[in-house]
Amino acid sequence: MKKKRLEIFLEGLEKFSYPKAYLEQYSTPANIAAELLVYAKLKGDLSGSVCDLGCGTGIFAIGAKILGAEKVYAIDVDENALEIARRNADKYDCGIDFIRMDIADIDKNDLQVDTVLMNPPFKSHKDIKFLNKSLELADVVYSMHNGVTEEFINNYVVDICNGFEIRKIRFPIKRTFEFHRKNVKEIDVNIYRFQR
Amino acid sequence: MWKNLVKILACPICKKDLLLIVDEERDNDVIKGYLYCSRCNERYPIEDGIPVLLPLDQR
Repeated sequence: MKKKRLEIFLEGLEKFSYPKAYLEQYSTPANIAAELLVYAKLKGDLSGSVCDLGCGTGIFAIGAKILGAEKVYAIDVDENALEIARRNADKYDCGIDFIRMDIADIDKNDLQVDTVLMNPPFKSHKDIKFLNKSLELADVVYSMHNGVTEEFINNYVVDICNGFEIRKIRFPIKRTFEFHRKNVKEIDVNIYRFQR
Repeated sequence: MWKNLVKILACPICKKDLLLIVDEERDNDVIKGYLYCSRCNERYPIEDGIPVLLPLDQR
């Protein structure tokens, strides 16, 4: 599947109607999701088992399944997010295993996958919690991080992984919450591929 | 919930393996039921096919 077609397909998925600010429920834009997914596919990381950590509306999980992943897990703590994700998966008849839990409670002895895909929350270093957990669960992790945290992330992961690649993009965040002052704000986002 | 999923799930409180109790299933998929931790005597519901592994106060 071509990247443009995947993007159009992902754009058609249902988004959050009532996003929760404390869970940073920004829907991942379809073009950015397609970018990350095709990157992972071309690297050969989407053939086995995949876990979408903090799946939200399920865009990575469904995309991974479409691109040929054999087994896909999608985990989120929020009931509403999982309802939307499940509707999205059902619409396209994707066999995805959804689990509602706090990622802190995932036991690495129970769940091991080939690849983790995630767009973790940025605030108060929640992204670090997601990073730590993801590298416990998989050899390869694809993740998106705010460009301003690049130095911090790069220094941090030195101790927990063996190497990484970065792709730099600009991420348009549409006005989602009342406290946002602009209709669309562009932020720099780095797509990482971490190798355990 | 795919039945074999229970193998990779554990109690979020004590990390012990869980027992699957099925109330309703369709094509080997559990639609309704619960996961039981015998150590904590805690039931984790499976709602609309999605297991909810959260302590009671966080559901």
